[in-house]
Amino acid sequence: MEIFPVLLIAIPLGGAFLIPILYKAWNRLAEIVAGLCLAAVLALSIYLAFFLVPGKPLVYLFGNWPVPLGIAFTVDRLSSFMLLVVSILVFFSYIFAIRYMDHFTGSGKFYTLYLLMLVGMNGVVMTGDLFNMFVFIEIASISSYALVAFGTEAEELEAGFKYMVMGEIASMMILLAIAFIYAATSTLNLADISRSFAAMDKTPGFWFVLILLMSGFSIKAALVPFHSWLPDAHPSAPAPISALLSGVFIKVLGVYAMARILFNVYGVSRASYPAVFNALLILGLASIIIASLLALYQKDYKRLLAYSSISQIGYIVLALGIGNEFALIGALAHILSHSLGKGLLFLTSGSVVYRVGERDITKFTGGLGKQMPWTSLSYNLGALSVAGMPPFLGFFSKLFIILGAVKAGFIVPAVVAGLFAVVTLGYLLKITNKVFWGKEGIKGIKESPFVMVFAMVSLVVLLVAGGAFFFWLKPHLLQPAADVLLKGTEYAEIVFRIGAGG
Amino acid sequence: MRYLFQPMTLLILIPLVGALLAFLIRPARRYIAIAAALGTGYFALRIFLDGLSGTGTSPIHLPEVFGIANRLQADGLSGVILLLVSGFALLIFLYSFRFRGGPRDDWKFFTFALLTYGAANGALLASSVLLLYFFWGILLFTVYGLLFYGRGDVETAARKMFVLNGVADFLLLFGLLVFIIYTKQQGVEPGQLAYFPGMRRFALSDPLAITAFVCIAAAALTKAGAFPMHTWIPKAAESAPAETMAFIPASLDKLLGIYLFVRLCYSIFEIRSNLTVQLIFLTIGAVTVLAAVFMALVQKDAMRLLSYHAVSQVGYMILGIASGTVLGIAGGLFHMINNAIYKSALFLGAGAVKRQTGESDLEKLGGLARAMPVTFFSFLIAALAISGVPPLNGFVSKWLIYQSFVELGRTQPFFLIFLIAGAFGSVLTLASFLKLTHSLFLGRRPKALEGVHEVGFTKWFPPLLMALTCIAFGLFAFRLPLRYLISPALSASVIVPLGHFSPLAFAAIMLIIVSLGFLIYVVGGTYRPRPRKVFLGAEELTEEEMHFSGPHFYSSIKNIKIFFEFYRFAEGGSFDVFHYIQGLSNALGRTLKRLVDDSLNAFARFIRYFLDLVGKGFSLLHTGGLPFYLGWILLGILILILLLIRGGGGA
Repeated sequence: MEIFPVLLIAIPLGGAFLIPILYKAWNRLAEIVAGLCLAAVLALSIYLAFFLVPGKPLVYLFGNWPVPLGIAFTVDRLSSFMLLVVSILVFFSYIFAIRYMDHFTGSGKFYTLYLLMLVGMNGVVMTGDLFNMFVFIEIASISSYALVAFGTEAEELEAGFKYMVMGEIASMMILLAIAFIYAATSTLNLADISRSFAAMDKTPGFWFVLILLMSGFSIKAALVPFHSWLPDAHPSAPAPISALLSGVFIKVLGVYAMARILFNVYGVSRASYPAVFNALLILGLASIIIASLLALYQKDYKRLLAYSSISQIGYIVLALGIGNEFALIGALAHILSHSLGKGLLFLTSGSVVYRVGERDITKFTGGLGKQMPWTSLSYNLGALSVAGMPPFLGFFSKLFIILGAVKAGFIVPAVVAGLFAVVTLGYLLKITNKVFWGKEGIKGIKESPFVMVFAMVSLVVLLVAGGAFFFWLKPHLLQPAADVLLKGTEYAEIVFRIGAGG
Repeated sequence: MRYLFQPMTLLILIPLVGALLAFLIRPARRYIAIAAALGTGYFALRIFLDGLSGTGTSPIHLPEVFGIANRLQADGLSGVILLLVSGFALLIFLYSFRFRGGPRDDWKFFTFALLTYGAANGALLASSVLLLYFFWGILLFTVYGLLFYGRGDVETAARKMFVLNGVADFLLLFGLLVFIIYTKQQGVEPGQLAYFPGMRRFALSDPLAITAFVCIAAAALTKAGAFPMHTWIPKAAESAPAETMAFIPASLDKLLGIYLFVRLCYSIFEIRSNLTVQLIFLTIGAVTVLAAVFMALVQKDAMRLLSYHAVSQVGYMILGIASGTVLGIAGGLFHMINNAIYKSALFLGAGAVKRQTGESDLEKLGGLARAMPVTFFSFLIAALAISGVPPLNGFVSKWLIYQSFVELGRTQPFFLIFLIAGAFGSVLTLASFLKLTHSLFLGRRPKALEGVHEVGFTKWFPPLLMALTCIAFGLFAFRLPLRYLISPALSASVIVPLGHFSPLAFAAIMLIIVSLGFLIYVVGGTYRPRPRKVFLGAEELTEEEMHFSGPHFYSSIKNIKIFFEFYRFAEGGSFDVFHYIQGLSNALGRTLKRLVDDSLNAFARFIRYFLDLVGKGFSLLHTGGLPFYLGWILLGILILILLLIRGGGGA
């Protein structure tokens, strides 16, 4: 089991290098190699997510250098939970992409970038080193810039370029913060930084570094008012990539990284530093409210979903800002439910674009549900889950967030969260009404190919199963992950206890 | 797994599985629906009989959530209502059954109706408020889906229902959270709907208790369709088919809403402990009765007219239950059962007419009694029952409710106002059904409807059965329904009305009077119409022109020709009453429509414009230019600096 973290990087990285060589020989080899890599990653992630002993993280020391000296991978239950979320969606998006990418040329390049993005995300989640984290963020980001512009039409290139500028501003902020941290503590290991911070004076400079980090990660997570790049970038990418970007990318690079650094490195808790948490609360509420209202006004299928992603990320950050046990479980559950749900919705957009070739919902006359029943069903069920309706997984995640808010005494955020669940449903049903329901459809349209339907229906099944077995998932998956955040700086002690001996 | 094959679990699962099957195996959807209703009905009957014999069905324990125990549990009240839900589901599925042909998209009806059915059973079995809310939430969506089956503007009705019930669901959520806090404070098992053996009723004195009561009651009454949350029902009547109207607003919604209201008023709280709250709910009841019936009077479409009565009748139930006396609650519950029976019969009857003629506009209908005798008979009985004509069931339940006010009025005479309001509403109901029955079945049959004939068995049997039940429940009210349905539901041993009323004796007298009248009619030879030529203003009018059409019974005085006919019809003293009703109803009906429907619509429009405006405003800030994006980011950093540096992280 010790070798698993390395494999989770090595397998996709190896695949990414093999594909450009092999696919010249036979086009389909790219898909086969990518598929094998992704299946292996999924299997390893599932194993880690359920069988890793809570409180006993895997610490892999590169070159056997003990903890503060070398680079270490630390996989605890939070990391393994994120690995699971990432690998599920990456796997099903890949299945969807097999046929969807028929429309594009250069499938070899696509799968190379695809696997590299996975390497980046896995690395961010597993690494125990701050600079290492930055490197993985860059790997993931740069491959995503290229993937956003993959269609190479004027509009896509423009979106890709803007996305790159914004993304690099975020990366520079993070890099600057890392430089400050290194100057102050002379170390880059997360656990070691955490120890140094504990003994440090909390001067304005100390908080400024945190502001830099939070701004950088907020841009990556697309929180209002750092969100402006996302509604351009996500709709421009091919649908499976949109699904990944909205489903897991912003959560891994933005929310996970921010939560890890806030809770485990800075070791802040609501009791000790309320201002930090209030800032999260305000960012979360702003994202929920403003992005939902903007989504109501959208006419583009994918743009609407993109705004919805911002608002749903708002829920997760709101929950982090509440910071009690219920809310954190809710936040993690929402990461899972939103990644499955929004991934699913973006895949349905791909299915519609694949057959109709149109994204402007004002140009639809409805009735597509008759011709594309599975896509329509998947969209509607996914929309219900994202909006937080029982019995889907999305209901439980929002329920826990709202309960956390009520328990902590934040009545207004709780009411806003509840109310905007309805607004969410409102704007998602707009697509249902305009595209899927109704009498007359567009002539000569039929259901998407089997593999695309299979990917969508699998995600629907996962959403339903997640809802049905939520109270099993809670103790086995969510609670251990939430405990990692709740224990705060104990993270450093655990890492040192396991990793220092070499 | 060990809970899977328990009656209570099956009560929820069979309809849900049925819905899935009906959706997947479309050709067999109608058979699946009937089979599911039969299967579920069997288990509902078993639970009901267990409750009757006093053994009770053992509850099923579900996982605890936040320290609140969740059980599926049935007592007398839920047992009775479960049985009724299954009965209505079976009859309505039978009504929509066809061996072949028929609309191909009626799988939507069966799928969503079965889902609704299962969720309703779940809501009735839920022991905790959380579980109740869960099923209540599902119902919102299944009914929303169900309303999409129909012709014409289905969306508006569905959206209206969704918004009104969605608001109510939020009230419910809030109310139940307060309720959980309150029950924790009181040191009882938190968040449970009390069950009758060993129940403890809370007084409405604590602000928490009042808040919980009012919020949950508002949700219950919205479900039941009380004024002013009713506006989706007349809208749905325009687009939804008769079976949907009979299933949802006429029976299921009433059963669920009133069930929750009875639970609140009778088994959790003591409504008589707070006079202000009680008067508020009694007023809602009285206003519902009168406002809806006035609006019904001026309708010209059969389905719309019936839908307003579906609202008006809820008022009686609220009046009865909010009176807080055992007699009143028994009357309210009995009225709920009766209403579900005759209102379903009326909707189904009107639906049968619409199916045979393709019309529900009253002006274009008439004289169908001879063509559709069975439907006419069921419709007439149901119409008399809803108007509270003795000795039918509607009379008995209203009478019980009035009696509770007589009882209350002995100490506090102002309670008699509600009695008067109820009785007045009853008169207007009769007036409106005179018009409806006449317009549909009596008078002259228009030429266009020559070939119309009776509907098939599955369409005339359910209304007929309901009409016969109306008679049986009226004649044997105290021996059958009150003894076997209402008493066990309220755990009250015997319901003793004040004074004396013998339905059978009354029926005998009625029979004698009616036979005498018929004898005079036959002997007097008036049954054969004698055509007479009519002159008006030196013009000879044809028979067709002289055709008496019912919908204008109470229509505007401006319509002089009809007014003239009307005068003739109302000769002998009744004219004044009609004149009065006509003016008043018009004025009131229109005003109320203005005040309530239009202002609600305006409010919805306002919200829409507001959201549009906000969205537009924000969109202007998203020009797509990089400088703008950077501006947003700087704004964000500024906010963070303000929050963190100023607050020093900790302060």
